[in-house]
Formats: sequence, C-alpha cells, structure tokens
Amino acid sequence: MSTRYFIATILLGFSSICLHAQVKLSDTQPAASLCQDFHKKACSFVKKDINYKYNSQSRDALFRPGQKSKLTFTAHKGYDYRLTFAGEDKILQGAAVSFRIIDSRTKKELFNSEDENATEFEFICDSSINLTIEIQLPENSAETSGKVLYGCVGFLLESRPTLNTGF
Amino acid sequence: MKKTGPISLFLCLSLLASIITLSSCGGGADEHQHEMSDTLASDSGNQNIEEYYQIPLPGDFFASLRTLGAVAKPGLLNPSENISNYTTSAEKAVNFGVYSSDLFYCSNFNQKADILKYFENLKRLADDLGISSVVTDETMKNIEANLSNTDSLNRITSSVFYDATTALESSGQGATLALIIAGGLTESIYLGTRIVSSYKDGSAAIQLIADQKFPMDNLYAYFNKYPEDSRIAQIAEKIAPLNKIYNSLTETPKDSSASKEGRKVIGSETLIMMNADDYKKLSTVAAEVRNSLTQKASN
Repeated sequence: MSTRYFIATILLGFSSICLHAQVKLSDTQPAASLCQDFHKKACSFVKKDINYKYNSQSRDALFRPGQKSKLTFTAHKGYDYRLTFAGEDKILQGAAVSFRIIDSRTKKELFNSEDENATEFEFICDSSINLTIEIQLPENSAETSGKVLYGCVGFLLESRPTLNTGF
Repeated sequence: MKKTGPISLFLCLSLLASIITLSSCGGGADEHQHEMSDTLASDSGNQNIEEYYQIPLPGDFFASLRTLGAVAKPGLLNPSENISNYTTSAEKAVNFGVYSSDLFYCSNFNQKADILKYFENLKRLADDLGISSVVTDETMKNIEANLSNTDSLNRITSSVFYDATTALESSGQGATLALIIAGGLTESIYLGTRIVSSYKDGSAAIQLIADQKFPMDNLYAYFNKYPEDSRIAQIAEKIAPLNKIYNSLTETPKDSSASKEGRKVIGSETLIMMNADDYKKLSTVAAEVRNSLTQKASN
C-alpha cells in the first residue's frame, strides 16, 4: 500500500514536473535563444568579394515549416549590401528560403528570389531606404507524421562602402 | 518494505533529477527543443506573421561619420556619474542605450580616457535589467587588455550590445530592448550633430544625419509592437520632438534606380533634404531630447 502510494506520488510528481518543464520551456525560451548565432555559423556567400563586413542588422529566428515572417532593415546611401538566408535542413528538407525585398514605404517589390532562382542578393544603395524582407518557408510533409517541427533560420547581412571601380 | 521505500524514492528522485537536468541543458537538448509535442505546439504554433525591425548599431553610424572626415570633440558624452540618476527600469534601459552609444563613439574616435568607467556603467545597468551575463568580469578584463586597440574595443562593444539584444529578446523583454535602442539612437544623433557642427550644402555627413530618419521610422514601428507598455509611451513622447523634425523634412523625387556592373542599384524614390535651418533645429532639438533622457527631471 505504502509502496504503491510512493510510486503513485512519484509518477504524479514526475508528470507534473514534466508538464511544468515543458510549459516553462515555451514561456522562457523563445526563438532568439534557441537560434543564437545560427546565422554566423550557417550563412555564407557563394561569391568571394572584398571589403564586406558583418552588418549588425543580421539576425536569427525560430521558424515552423510554411511560416511567413517580415524583417525590416535600413540600407544607407553609399554602401553596397549583400544578404543571404540559411535554415536547418529539418524544416527546409533541401528547399531554399524564398524571400521578397520590398520598399517599406511604397510597398514596391524590388527583388523576388523565386523569379531569379536566387539564394542571395547583392545591391548598391544610392539613397537610404528601409527595406522589408518577406520570408516564406516551404511546407514540410514530415509535419503530418505526428511531430511539430521547428528550426532555425538565419539572415546574414554584410555591407561595405560602395566600391568605385574603373578609371 | 521500510527499507526499500526510501531507497526507491531516492532512486526515482535521482532518475527524475537526471531527466530534468538533461532536458534543461542547452546544447544537448537541441532536438528536444526543436521537435516539441503537439500539445506544446498548439500553444506556440501561432501563424501570425511576425515582424522584426532592425536598427543599425551606433557603431556603424560613427564609423561612417569618421570615414566622412568627422572628428571627435571633448566633453560630449553623458557623464558617467549620471548613472546614479537612473532609478526606474525605463531610465536604466534608455541610458544603457545612451552609454552604449557613447562607448561606440569612444572606440570609433579613439577617446579612451573614460572607457572603463562607461563599461562599468553598462555592467551596473545590465545587472539591474536582469541581463548581467552581457558584461562579465571576463569582458572587463578583455577591455582592459585591449584599451589601445580601437577595432577590438569596437568589437567588444558590438558584442555587448548584440548579447544584450539577444538576452532581452530571449527573456521576452522586447519593450526594454526598444527603450535601449531609443536611447542609443537619440545619443547617436545628438553626438552626430555635435561633431558635424557646421552645415554644408551637399555634405555626405549631413545627409547621413538626415537619413537617420529611416532608423527613427523603424524605432517607432518597433514601439508600436508594445502599445500597452507605459514606459514605451513615456519615452516615445520624450523623443517625439526629434521624430517631428525628421517628419518635417522635405523630400524630392530621385531618378529611378538602375543596375551598375551587374549589380542592382536600390534606393528610396525620394531624397531627404536638409537645409541649414533644418539642421540648426535638429541640433537644438537633439540636445534637448537627449538631455531629457539623461538628466533627472526636477519634480
């Protein structure tokens, strides 16, 4: 009787601790901490180029398959920028993160990665502008197998003073 | 029975402790964290489109001004002893941003006299904001060892700011982060207008200061994410005169962008114009707003 009581108490305690641990996990560990520095490890550019430096507007976030997100950053006149995305394969499964770059004010589309079949984008900024990037992750069939998937997505932005080439 | 009961209990508790310890370890729990149960996902599987607003670090702004020929002037920084004025969480957050901006200024313009004091202030404010891990004793040692190295100091300051950002986002303190950014941006504009003290038509440095309208727009968009936070409302009101100046600047249409050397050229469809009068007003208001953030209001 007493052993059963102990076991029942322990099991009850265990399940309540587990429940508490899970709730606490979701409350106190949002995206940023799970994916900290992911972009620094996962993102890279195909083309090597000179003088580009890490831009502090780079970031990471936790995503679910099929999720959409928007990120707005400032590009300043007189600078070249290049940007790319990377995501954990468990949510991308070989597909790429698709993104559109939009003038934040006019909402005019300036670039669409799907049209250009691109994974990165490079531009010269000739007047300062706020750009909004709309990110869309592909759906993932593994989601239907009983597990909800999460994965990190990184956005790497690099910039340099615009290079003037030629005589 | 009397013997096995407590032993079983001890074993079970040990097992429980191990399981709990394992499940709360950061690195090893990666899979666990990323593949949570359906029950948990239903809580957090919100499909609303999340919007993020990024604002360049003050260090980028000062580096650009330095490249454009701006030179540091003495006596501009928020005095380090002002830290004792900051008692509320809003004041502490805003002035974490102000002192961070001062540190970026010091490291970019080689003003090292007070760097340790300013880092100590950041440490105190970080402790009070619950993000003490961003300025540790190790950080302080690192700073002391690199006092003569501008690049290293800039890197350490960026790292502190970045870690503060991540720590605040991770602990659900996005509103506090918005206050830090507000302090940093205001101080940057204030310092910018002080070191570029005379107006010149067509000056790239003046244009850069005028273009701080873009981060300012992003800051206000970020503020809008926290409509219930009274601290945000209070600081947004304090910064409003600065925002008003930026919103009053005229804009002229610009030729549409093309491509150059195979790379796309992108830019705003209008250019922000700032004349001598606008600049004078901006300089005055920037000082007033900055002082309202850094000095204790006399009640």
